[in-house]
Amino acid sequence: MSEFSIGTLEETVLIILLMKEESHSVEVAQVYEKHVGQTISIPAIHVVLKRLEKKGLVKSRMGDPTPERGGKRKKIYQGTPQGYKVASDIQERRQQMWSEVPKPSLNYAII
Amino acid sequence: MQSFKSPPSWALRILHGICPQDLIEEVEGDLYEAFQWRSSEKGVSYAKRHYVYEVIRCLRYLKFNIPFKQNSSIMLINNYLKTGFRFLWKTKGYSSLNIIGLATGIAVCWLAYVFVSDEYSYDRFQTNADNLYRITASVSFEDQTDNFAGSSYLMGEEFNNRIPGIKASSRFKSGLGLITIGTESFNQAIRYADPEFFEMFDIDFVQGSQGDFTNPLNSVISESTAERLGITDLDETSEFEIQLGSQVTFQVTGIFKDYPTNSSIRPSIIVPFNFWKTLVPERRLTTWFDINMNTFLLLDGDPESVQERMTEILRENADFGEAQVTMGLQALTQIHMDQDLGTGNGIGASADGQLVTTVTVIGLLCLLIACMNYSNFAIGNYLSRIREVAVRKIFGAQKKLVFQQFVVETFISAFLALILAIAIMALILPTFSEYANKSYTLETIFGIRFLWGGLILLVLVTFLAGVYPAFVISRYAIVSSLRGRESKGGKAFFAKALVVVQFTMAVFLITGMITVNKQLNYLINFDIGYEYDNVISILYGEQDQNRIDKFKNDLLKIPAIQQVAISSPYNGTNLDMDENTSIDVSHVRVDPDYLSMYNIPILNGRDFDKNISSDFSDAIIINKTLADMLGMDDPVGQRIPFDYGDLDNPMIIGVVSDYHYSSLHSPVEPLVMYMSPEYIMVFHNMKVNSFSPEVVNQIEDVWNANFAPQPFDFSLLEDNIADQYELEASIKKLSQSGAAIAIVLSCLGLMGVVGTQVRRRLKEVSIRKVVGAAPSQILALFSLRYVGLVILGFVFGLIITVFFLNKWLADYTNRIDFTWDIGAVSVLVVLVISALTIASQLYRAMFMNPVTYLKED
Repeated sequence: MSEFSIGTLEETVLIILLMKEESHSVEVAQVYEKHVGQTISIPAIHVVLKRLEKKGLVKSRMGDPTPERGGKRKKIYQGTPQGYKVASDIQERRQQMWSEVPKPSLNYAII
Repeated sequence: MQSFKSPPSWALRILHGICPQDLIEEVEGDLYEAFQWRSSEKGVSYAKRHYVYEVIRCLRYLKFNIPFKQNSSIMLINNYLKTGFRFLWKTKGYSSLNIIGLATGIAVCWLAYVFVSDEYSYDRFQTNADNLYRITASVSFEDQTDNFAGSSYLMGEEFNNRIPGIKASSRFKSGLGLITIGTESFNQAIRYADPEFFEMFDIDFVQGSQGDFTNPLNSVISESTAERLGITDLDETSEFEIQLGSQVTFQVTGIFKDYPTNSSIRPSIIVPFNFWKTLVPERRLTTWFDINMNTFLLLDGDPESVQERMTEILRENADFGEAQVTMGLQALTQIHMDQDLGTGNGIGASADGQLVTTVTVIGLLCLLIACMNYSNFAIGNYLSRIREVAVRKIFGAQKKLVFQQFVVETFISAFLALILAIAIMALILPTFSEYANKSYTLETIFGIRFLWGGLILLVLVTFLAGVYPAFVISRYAIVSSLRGRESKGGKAFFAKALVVVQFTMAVFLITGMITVNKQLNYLINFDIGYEYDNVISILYGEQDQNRIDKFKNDLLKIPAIQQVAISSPYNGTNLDMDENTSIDVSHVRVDPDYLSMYNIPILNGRDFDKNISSDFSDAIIINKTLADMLGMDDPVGQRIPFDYGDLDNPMIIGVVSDYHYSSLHSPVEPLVMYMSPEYIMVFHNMKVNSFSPEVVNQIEDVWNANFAPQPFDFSLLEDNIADQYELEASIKKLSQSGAAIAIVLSCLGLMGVVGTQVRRRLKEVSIRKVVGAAPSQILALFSLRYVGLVILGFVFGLIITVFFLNKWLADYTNRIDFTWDIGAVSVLVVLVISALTIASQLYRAMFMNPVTYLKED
């Protein structure tokens, strides 16, 4: 494991951020709900994003105000190369582990 | 242009309150955008709910480790809390006294809230609570109206079939049967109900179900009863045997959870009404107006029109002559709080209005006194803080913020007091539940209602106790506060008004307590016209005259028993003298020893004689009230048309004095006594030389020889008579405790006022002492200031007391008069206690060393 300890939700959000060039938290929530099938609250995503930012896995900048945000500026997040590396490490390691799980066989069927 | 819906503005305000400044723009924008997205996807109301949820979730930002600028209003609240706690700590003595006082008030009021809300919560847990009604009837004849809570068997059958607004109906009736398990027998209450009962009322089956409830031999029982009957796992062999006229075996098809205590119906065994049908003669199933059971209706229509239809149907089918009979409906949720209509027949006793009122008044008064104390204390203490306030103001705090600060401080105290109150409640709860005849424990009352009560009290106390002092403090002008000068007028006026109000309440409570006490003693010691000491009473209904006679003879063989008199309960009927005159009379069946055992004086004529056979079939004895109403010159030897049962125009053989056979709440009604066997004998009373366990053992042996396996149970007649005044006894105990607490709280308040005054004038007192004032002069200087206030409080208190207590006493036929000595005693008590309180505070001023306070400046 690298020096980053990273939780499941953090990992999911990080992957979602890496899907696109950049996105803000509402987009993250939409993608999350589409893929995971559960609702998530915006503050939960904020907390995760701040944590990731503190770990240096994502970076952010302020965007422009738009009417659908009630005239407020949005904060846009973007995955860093560091973030990409951590995420792909995790996927690889997981793949590695999964490959050692035997294929379903008659043994399982009997249980 | 797309239109945007806006999220709830109050939630937005909360968001601004709790969200850190550096995050607010991002968060607010995100939440707004998410709101638009969700409302387009799942509708506005879903989005709104989610928005509010997310705003609350924003609290988690406060835990961020990353550095951010703090939200100013949170910082301010933190600061208020910090200074608040520091100040409490600095003035430990006063503050703890203050908080204990507040906690006592809160505890008393909280208990009162628990009690009152429990009384009002009766039956509301039923899913159909709003649509369940009970059939009632009222009969008017001339100018007299009688209300009955109940219906006949036929009404329960027919109304449901004929009236469209009724969805379901179930009769409900109580019964009593003897169950024998092994060698032990006990009387078990059962309830009869129709199959629809299970659709109408909530019933929670732990095992099985009601099954086929039309089968007369099926039954369902409660969990606690199942335990008692030894039924653990339900199967086809689960049954119990009960003596209901004859031995019957019921199959148990279901076990349900016991009903909560705040339910009017709490059945332990329910058996089908079809079984009751087999017990009674056909006539009772086909009579329209034979009111002896309850019928519940589940309505889906308008209750008014159902009432009208019921009355119409009844009038079509039954003839009532001159009398006007009207059918009515009583909502299930009203049953417990309505004292006009009777309960019984499976419905638990209703609440007592007087008790509820007493508890409410005591609770509110204690809370009010405690809050006033707090305000007073607070103002006194805050004077030492006006410099702090001035500094805050100089740094830019507006009046509003200072106001906020002091309300927050009251909130701290109220919160601490609330926690302390729980401890105090735990202490006084057992006593309270005994006085109020409830089985409360901290576990049973702890629930959502309890917490709501606490929350309401917290807000109420913060508001009542905190607003005035906060207002006073925030109003001080900066310059004069910095110099340490105080503006006086308003504050002194408030403190004075508080003293007056507190003494008004204290006098009211003490006078009330003494009056209730006196009235109760008066009732208990009242000469009710017959001797009832050393009388043992056994309650058992027996039809068979031979068994009654044998039991009586066996009892008389016990040497310690002087006399035995067996009688029926007192009942009522009409005595129709002629077509126009009808007298409501009570009547009772007695045996020949009745009058002599109770030593009831015979004014005229003679007692019943067991050797004259016509005395058993054709003779009555009346009381003086009836004799006066009949208006005969010499009633003895006359015949009156008291044609009850087999009696036919019987002869009056004697007139007895008006003894009080029922409680003293009502005057003595006209009474007829007879010996003819119309009515079931129930009271087997015996006079013994003296009451001792040996005598009871001997009686029990005789009982077992005659009536086994019926369980032996006895009571003392004096206890039964005292029980008639149980309510007064409860009110007496509650008002005593309430008055004691109120007095203590008032004294705390007085201590606060006087203590503050003394502290503020220590310098003046020192100078007076230096120039030669004696301690007694110092005492006079301070106490005279309060004499006027205390007297004013007395006057107000007495006026209120006279008004309310005369109203309360007016309900009693036999009552004490409200005399001035009651008022004088209470004034004296309050005076002595308050003088002691004032003196305790003045002690310091009287005996201090003047130098200590003069060298300060």
